Amino acid sequence: MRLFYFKIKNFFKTLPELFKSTKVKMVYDSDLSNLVESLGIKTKIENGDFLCRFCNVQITLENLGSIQKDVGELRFTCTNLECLSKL
Amino acid sequence: MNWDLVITWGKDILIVIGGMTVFFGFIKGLSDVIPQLGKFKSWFWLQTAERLKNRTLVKNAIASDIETHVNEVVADLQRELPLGWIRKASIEWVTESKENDIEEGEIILRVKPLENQDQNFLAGVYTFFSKALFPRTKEVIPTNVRKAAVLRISHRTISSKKPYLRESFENSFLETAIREDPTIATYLGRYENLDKKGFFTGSFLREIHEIATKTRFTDLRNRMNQEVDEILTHIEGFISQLGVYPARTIPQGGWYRIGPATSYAFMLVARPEHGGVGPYVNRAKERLAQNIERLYVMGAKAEEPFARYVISEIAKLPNYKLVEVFELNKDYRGNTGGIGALFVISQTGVSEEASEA
Repeated sequence: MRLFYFKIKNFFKTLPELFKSTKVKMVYDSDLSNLVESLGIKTKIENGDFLCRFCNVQITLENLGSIQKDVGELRFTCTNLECLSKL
Repeated sequence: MNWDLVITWGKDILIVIGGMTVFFGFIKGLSDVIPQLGKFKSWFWLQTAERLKNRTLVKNAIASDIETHVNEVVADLQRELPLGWIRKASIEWVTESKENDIEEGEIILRVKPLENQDQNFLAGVYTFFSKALFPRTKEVIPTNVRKAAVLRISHRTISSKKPYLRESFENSFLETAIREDPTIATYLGRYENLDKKGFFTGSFLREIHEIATKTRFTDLRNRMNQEVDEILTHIEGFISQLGVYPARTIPQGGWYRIGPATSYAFMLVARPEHGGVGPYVNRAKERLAQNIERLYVMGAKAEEPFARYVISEIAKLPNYKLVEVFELNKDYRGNTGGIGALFVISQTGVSEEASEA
């Protein structure tokens, strides 16, 4: 009986969790150019100013795999799964 | 022109549009709460996107497919992992942003068209679990311990839901992580052993999270690696005794661990023919007398109703408070399923349940 009460209490406690979500931010391939432009880094990317933080390959619009804010700075990885897995 | 006819048609069209909006809104709402319905939503978007080749539809199809597969697993893990850890995944498409809008540590993943959906899924699952596991204690838990836990959960998820991607995940994510830090391989092996008997998600992750919460602002935070290793060694030692019959050959000290930050004990529940519920309640009282803060009751799948009864009876003890009842991936015998419960010593001496009664 106690377990039943606990479950009922727990159900109402966990009910709000059903409507909460963990957001994963993604940018679609064809929106990438627009995104980097809005971030003000498109020219820098085109000039080859950024490197993949893990394999040091030059980041271009074709091989940009992720953008992350780390210690206040934007950092990038290439599309290589090995580099993405290091995030 | 027959205006009456035009008005009637207009009304009919509006009724159809309104009806469809209500119907799809209802399906969307339902699929948010019931993950299994997400499959239908995902199938619908995929079919439409493939036929019409529209960019917005393709984006919807990708997001829906990743969300559906992640959320299917999330529904299972929600009942297994501590409350509030795992919430359903939702994908937020970013089309433009200011640098200040991106939070510290936040990741924006680039997603490729549908032909690369497998890679999208692998990256999505990994990113989701990296974000979800150990909420609020990420910084306290050593990176290799946390990363190995994320990899273990992701690996289990991918192996069960998309087995054909298992090799790809192992070759990319696992291999890279191990090359980067060889200690991760050791943790992965140890976690797998615990997971085979339900102690990885059942007790280990909960203990680590509890210790990290308690030691956040203490000196012990600098010795988290040592503490994690000692807990792992204790649970491994305990598991190694489980195959030995009878279980009572496990030395008394093997059933519990008293550490610098927390103390916990295990109670395995299976055999109702051995004196009923009484001996289990007495064992719980013994742990109370030892001042063991956290008691894990692990019930075998085959005896789940009896295990529930035992949990219910222990909950009547005034000094142990039932904080969680959870499902197990495997029970301590290695069978799929099982039930677990966590009791913590009540600081007031009277449990919430007892006061309610």
